[in-house]
Amino acid sequence: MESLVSLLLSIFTLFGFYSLLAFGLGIIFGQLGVVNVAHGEFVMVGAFLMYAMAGIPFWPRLLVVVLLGLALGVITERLVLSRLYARGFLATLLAMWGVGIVLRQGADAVFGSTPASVAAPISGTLDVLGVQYPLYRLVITVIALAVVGCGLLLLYRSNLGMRIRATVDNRTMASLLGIPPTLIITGTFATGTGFAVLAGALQSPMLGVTPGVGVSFLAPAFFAVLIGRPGSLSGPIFGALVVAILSTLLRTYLNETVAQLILFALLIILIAVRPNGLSWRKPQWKIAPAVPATRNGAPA
Amino acid sequence: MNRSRRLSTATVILTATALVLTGCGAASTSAQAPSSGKTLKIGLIAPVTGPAVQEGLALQRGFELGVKKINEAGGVLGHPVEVVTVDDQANASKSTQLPQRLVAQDKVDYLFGTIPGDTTAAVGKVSQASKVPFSSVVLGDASFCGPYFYPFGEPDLTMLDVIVPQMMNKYGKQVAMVGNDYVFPRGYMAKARTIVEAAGGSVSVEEYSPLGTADWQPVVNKLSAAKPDWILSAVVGGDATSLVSQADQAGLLHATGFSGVSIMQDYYPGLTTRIDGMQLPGRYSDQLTGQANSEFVQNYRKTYDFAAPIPGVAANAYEGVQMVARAVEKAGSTDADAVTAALSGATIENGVFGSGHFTKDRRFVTEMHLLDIQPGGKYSPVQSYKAPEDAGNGAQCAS
Repeated sequence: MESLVSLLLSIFTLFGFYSLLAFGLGIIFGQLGVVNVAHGEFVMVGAFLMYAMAGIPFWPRLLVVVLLGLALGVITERLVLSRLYARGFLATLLAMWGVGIVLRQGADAVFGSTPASVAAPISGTLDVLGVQYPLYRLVITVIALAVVGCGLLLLYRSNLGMRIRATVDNRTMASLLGIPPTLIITGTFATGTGFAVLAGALQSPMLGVTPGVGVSFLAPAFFAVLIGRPGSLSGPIFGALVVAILSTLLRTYLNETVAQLILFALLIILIAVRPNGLSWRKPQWKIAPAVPATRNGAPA
Repeated sequence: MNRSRRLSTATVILTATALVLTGCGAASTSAQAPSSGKTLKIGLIAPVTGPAVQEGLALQRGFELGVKKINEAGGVLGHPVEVVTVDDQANASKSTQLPQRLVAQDKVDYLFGTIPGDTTAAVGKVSQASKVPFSSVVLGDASFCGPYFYPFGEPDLTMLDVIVPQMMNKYGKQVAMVGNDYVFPRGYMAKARTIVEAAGGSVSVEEYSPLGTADWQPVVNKLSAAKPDWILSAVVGGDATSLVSQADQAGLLHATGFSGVSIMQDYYPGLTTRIDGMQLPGRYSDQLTGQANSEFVQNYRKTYDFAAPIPGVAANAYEGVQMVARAVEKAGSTDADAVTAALSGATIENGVFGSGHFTKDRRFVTEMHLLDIQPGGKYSPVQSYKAPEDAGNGAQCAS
């Protein structure tokens, strides 16, 4: 029983972290068509900002770091990406690769290579059905999932969200309808960056913060986006759940190195078999051809 | 300038910046004097970028201070030592190409440095093929042996033969082992397991994770479930901070003993007060007394504006390059066979870590210390002991 509870808690906490990462990466990919290979470096920036501003109490510092993350997103989008959309997918990918290098080397120049650490604001463990689990992990998971939940509500239950989804579906049409594409695009990239920075800031008390710390987070986030239907805004969260379950199960029952090998092999196979991503909905090809509806919505 | 030209210019600038930042430049040569037949020219392979950057920087700094001291004392064979520095990024493929270039193009007389086991083996093979002597300085048994290879790092056994029985006496006989998944941690743990089992203990769990692992929770769960009396860890770099932080948050550090290379000086800035009061074995500490160490510590802190505990790899590089210089001086030339013959019988007296020498199987041994970690990162020696001359299991280079 204890091992099952421990396993479920590990999945829950990993899902919280990956969902925040994948949601940010997913909205950038869905909205802008940009493969943000610097997403891991944005996580690193969040962790280092928490370290650099250690004099500020933890929770206000988190808020400041997120605001700085949003500003970093605006600057990156305006100075780098906005000039490259017309040149296509490869140009933006290479540009973000360059941004990642600059951020990593910049962190190395400013903070050096010695691992830094951030003190956790909460210590101790919580008894969950007989399992002593780190309280801080549980708290940040709840925060991460709450942020993702708010993001989804914003996307699907607000006028702003409707405009964002309209721009994702058809940017030209949205523009003709008076939705300012530049504002939506910049805002979306900044929000995605802010999510990554927040993820890094929340994780920072559990990490040896180095310039390369973000690299290991990129692959799971990408897989989550690809599994959850590329281009979908909510799909990456479902993908994050799949990655968290697979990763935790394999790492619990197998040797760590073998587990990671199998995890990525499984994810590659999954994407090869279902290139349009997984969905909890019934696949389209199994649904009967649409029947023309009557005026009151009932089938004719 | 039209839009596409501006973009092309930006791309060129970005690419150039990327090349500069990633260190894809030429090797740097430090000495101004032209090379002559008698000038000792050393090729320093320092991974100052990549996953071993922390150890690489310490290696480079210790080496630079050692060379500076040699040259201030008149150099070797009447000439200042020349150094050609390259960055192998702890990447084994670069650790083959770069030493080949150092030997063929720069005509170095000696190869020095690199950090991980696989890059050490790669440089060792170039050294053997080209008959140019080579010394590494990182701790742990090397996975390579050759007549021109003289490693200055601490052999595995010297870091285990005292601490393992002491931890078993203090905490108990059930040991959990955790490390990164590469050559050094696996070799280190294999020797530790032998000592544990010989002392009547047992290993309750043994886990290895790839370098760069950030989420250690599944490993922490396994360690907790095994209920060990103490944990021996060979997790390194930023991973050491992640593991210790996550084990601490899970309450594991308070419930069990903890030791191993994960808590050595290199990682203290990230580990901080979490490891105060723990103990580990070590050859070097900046808290060791003696004139040579006082001078080294003062120079290191001043030159590099460095306040953290000084890593042992810096001390090994500092003393190692001086020992090489003395061997060349004794040999009277840079001839590889003469230099290695001189190294075999050479000793270090009153160095930063006291005295040291090469054993018959070319392991460098010194007096070892049990270091107590005190607040502020003071690794205070509380007990000293003689390192074993016998390599124990797995003698690497018996002649």
